[in-house]
Amino acid sequence: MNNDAERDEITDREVLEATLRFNTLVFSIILGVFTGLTLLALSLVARYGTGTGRLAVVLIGIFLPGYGAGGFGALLGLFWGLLFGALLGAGIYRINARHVLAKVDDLVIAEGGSNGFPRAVLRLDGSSLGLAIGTIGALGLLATTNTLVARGTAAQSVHARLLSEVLPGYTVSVLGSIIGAIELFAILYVFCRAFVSIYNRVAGRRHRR
Amino acid sequence: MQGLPADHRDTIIMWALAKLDVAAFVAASAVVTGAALFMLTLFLVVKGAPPGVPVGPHLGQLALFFPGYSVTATGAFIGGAYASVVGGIAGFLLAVFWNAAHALFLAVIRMRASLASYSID
Repeated sequence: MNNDAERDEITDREVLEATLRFNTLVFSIILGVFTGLTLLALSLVARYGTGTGRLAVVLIGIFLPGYGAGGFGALLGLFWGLLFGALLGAGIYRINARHVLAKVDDLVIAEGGSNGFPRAVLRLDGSSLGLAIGTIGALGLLATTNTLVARGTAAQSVHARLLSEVLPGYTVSVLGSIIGAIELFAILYVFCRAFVSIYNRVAGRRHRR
Repeated sequence: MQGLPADHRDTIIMWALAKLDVAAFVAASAVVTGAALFMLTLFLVVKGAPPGVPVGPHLGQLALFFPGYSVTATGAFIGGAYASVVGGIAGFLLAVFWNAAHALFLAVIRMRASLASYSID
């Protein structure tokens, strides 16, 4: 009896881990490719366009060594984008899925299926997604701001300082980055809740449970 | 973790391989990105700037990509509309790639299952 329970538990974990690994991989690849291609396009536009976006490329280049307008800089942007996009994707999916598994029954709209493979439409969980994207965004702000602080260029970071326009209390300092990160987390959390609410409402209407 | 009942385990697999509703994802992405730029622009307009200083000069550079956009009340609506389109396209691509990856994965599983059944026969 005990052996059966233990075997069941191992199987459950294997199922969960296998599905999580696959979905983490898929989401990482999608976000990595998106980010990489965006950085590549931005770099090429800055190089061959009318100067549009050059400032953005220069500012991003502060955090991504070698990234710049055109040619080799664009390829490095693609590389960094793939890398950081994939890492962000993995982080977001893992944090999101950790909390979703407890309420998985509410997160699928079964649609039947064929050949013994049931198909379903995904519903999202607002608090999990908000927590995941809010956390990653807040950590991103902490990391970038404190990189500037560690480099000793905080005083010259006029563009980073502009964030205080929308994040009151934010400054390019350790304390300012913590205040900004808390505010950014709250903003992202609210937007994720709104996003999920719209998505679930529309998906629920189109696919009755 | 407790041992799960078999149907719960099926639900987990169903959830893991579930597709996104593309129309719903596009709608949500469009509304949220549009609202974000709309609110950001309006926030800067309401906050204002000292006399002689332009309001939101950096955000205003979006006009290079979104012709007609400016950091004004009217510009907020124009920017919101542009951002909705961009957000909708991004949401569409994300949902389509997500669904395609899962469809491909399921197709591979089906193919392997049918190959296995042939070898048994």
